[in-house]
Amino acid sequence: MMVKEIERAGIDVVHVANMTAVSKSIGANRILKAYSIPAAMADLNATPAIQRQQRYNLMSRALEILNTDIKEQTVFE
Amino acid sequence: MKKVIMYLNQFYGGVGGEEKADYEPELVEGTVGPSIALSEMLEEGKVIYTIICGDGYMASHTEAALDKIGELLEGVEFDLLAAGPAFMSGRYGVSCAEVCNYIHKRYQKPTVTCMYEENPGRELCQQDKDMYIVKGHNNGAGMRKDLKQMTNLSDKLMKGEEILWAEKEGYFPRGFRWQIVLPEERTSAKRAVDMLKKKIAGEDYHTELPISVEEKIPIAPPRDGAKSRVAFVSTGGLVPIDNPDHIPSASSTRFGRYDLSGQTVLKPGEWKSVHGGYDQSYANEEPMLAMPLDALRRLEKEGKIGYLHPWFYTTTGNQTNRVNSVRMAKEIVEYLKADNVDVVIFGSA
Amino acid sequence: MKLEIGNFHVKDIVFGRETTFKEGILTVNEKEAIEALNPEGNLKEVELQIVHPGENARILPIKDIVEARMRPDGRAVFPGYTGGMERSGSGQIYALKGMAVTAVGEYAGCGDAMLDMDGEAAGLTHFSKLIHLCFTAKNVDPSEDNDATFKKNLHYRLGAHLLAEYIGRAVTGQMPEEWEVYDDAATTSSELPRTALVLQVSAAMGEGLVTRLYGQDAVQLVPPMLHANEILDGALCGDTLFFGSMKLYTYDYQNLPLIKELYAEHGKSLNFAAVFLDVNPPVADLKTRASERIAVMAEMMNIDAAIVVNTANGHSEIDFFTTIIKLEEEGIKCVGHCMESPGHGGGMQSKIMLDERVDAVISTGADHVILNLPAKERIVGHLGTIGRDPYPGAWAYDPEYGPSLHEDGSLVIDSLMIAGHDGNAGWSNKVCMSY
Repeated sequence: MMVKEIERAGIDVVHVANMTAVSKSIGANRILKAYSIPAAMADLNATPAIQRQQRYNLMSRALEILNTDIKEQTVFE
Repeated sequence: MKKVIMYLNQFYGGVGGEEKADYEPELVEGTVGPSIALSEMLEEGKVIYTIICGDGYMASHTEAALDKIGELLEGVEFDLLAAGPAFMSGRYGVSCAEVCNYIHKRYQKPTVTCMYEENPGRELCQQDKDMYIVKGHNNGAGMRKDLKQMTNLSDKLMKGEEILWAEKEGYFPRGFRWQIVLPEERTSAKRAVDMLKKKIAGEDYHTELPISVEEKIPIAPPRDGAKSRVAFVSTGGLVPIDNPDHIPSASSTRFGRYDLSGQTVLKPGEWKSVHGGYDQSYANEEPMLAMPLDALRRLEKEGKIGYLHPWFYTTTGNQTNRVNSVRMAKEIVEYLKADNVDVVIFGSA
Repeated sequence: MKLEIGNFHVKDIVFGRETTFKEGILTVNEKEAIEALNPEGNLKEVELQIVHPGENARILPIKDIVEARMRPDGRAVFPGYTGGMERSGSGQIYALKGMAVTAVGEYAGCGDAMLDMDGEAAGLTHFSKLIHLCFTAKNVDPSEDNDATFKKNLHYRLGAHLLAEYIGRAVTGQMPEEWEVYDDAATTSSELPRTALVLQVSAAMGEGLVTRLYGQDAVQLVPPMLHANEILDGALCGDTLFFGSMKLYTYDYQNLPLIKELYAEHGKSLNFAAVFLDVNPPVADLKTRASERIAVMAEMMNIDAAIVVNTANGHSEIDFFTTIIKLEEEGIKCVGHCMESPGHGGGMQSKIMLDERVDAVISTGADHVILNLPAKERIVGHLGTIGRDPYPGAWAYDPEYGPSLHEDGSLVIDSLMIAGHDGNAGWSNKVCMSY
């Protein structure tokens, strides 16, 4: 709901969420699939060093998605 | 005897037709046109004043029109506002909605209006506890029936009686759901099997949870992060360890806004998750599982993010109602616009 | 598969010298019963209490509720849990109706609940209609109560099942007053639509917290197919993770109304072909995998129609919606069965996910209702758990409602506290309406 309101105000949003089905149903357009509910930004079983890299990759991916032309609501894995 | 104010447009107020659409708000003592009939039908009250305003004036000078109505009502005591019925007239419906919204906000009095289901005024009218739009006919031939429906609901409101569900009372659902208790034998198991039998047989059935399609927001064109001003907003429930803004674990009405200037990482022990919908221990041990500040800083340094907005916005997303979500988002947008932010990376649990 | 449940109707329970059942009266030898439920001495200060419907009484914190049963052929009532692993769902079993065995602890956690036997809160749950043979006890090992939010309650839960089995033996050698027969082969017709029940169990997190399938935790469960008779016959036992208002207790599995209603139509308007268990892992891919597994099994079983049950709120709703959507994509006609979460103000979106393809849903009511309840003359358990312990529906202080527990013993709580409030097994005679 908040995602949609921010986007409605003219600010572009990349929604990083594990539960992409919910994200889609609330109307987010650019959706990036996160790792899990309790640990969205990295694999909670990974080592701290790997988690750091995963976070970086995930955020880099968010920027790529921001710069990707889409025609409909899209979930990026 | 309770006191009712009724709002009518220039046509039903007897001022004139389209040529009088710019008619400025006027307060008439007593009743005019439809308010005569409404006043007669009411058991619990009488119409003491009728407000008449041109639809065109309300549409093109909304703020001035409402201010004027406020002035006219100075010192007037009343218990309820009735507006319309507006039938299929879009401008009249919108006017009724504007007046209901204004009166409810300013005086916290119940409002009852009435219009046809396709009237655009329906969308505009706020959804609040004692604000009702009665399901009306699409033209003036239904006037008497519409007024009767408005009367029934108004009487109940003024008597302080319980207002039953939308279908029963004949108003449009406002987005509220309450439970009622059915006869003991109407178990959900029986109802489920009955509905399934109907669905299998291709007969009509009525879902008990109506689902309406969410309106879609147009898709923004691609944008280069390197040239963007980026902020991070989260509903993952990560807050400073002492939770200074008392963000609740669910059904949030507040968000926190925390300055990350000069910080490159979020340290364990300084942050915690208050989200009540998942196992919080992981985020407590490593806050950056919820808010990846180190990654964002690195991308900023590498020039892949043009500018990282220094504040982090956070709340809990679980069981937060629509009204609060929209309000919080609008408040956050104010902050973001003030810093010309054009991109939000939004993290959810 | 043919299961015959022989019913004995319990009109009252009394304590006495010998555990027997005669002319509707169940007599319980307290000492023996306590030994039966606590064989390894993991519980202390164990006491039994009998509580009647309509009594001015309040029971809390409740750990599980179980129907007392015995199997004349000597197999365990709860295979894999109270005895060796054997298939359940066929043969004969005896059940003591009108009563339940209820475990009451010392500290409350996330899955614990309260039951009022009279008044407003009693009217909101099927459990208030039963005579409860409660045991109250404490854990010998204090570390069992350590985890504030999620408590495994292993000894309480096992104790309830052992006591149910002990009490069941009171009818040994007697003839049941009536028989319920569940025999799907007898009336199957090739003409009728093949129908499945998709039942969501509690599998979201945590060893020792979740629903048991033949005594084993369902935590890593990939959706299996079960025969409805297995569920009526002790294959599933209650969890201690989902809130006490919404979860299915062992009693609910043993008496599952949705299974009974589908059986009532079996051979008449449909063929009740299978039960699939759905799960609720906190990872999107595992959710999709589960929904896909159910869709594949449904396809292989030539299922035409299904009732899909949601038994918790939050992300479990995603499993519910996803499974219905996958089944509908297979051309399977679905009816959903779920509670709603419109919140105290009634204005929250009812489910966290909505999808218009889910076009036939039964609403079991709202999961959050504020209740103002008077004090009770009799407390079974510990009233002091309210405000002290992390029940989902009670609080030490709330800016709007103040503390849940008032000095005079009256309460202001959320219906999340009420055992069985949501009736998610199919008991609910509540529904949400649009306002």
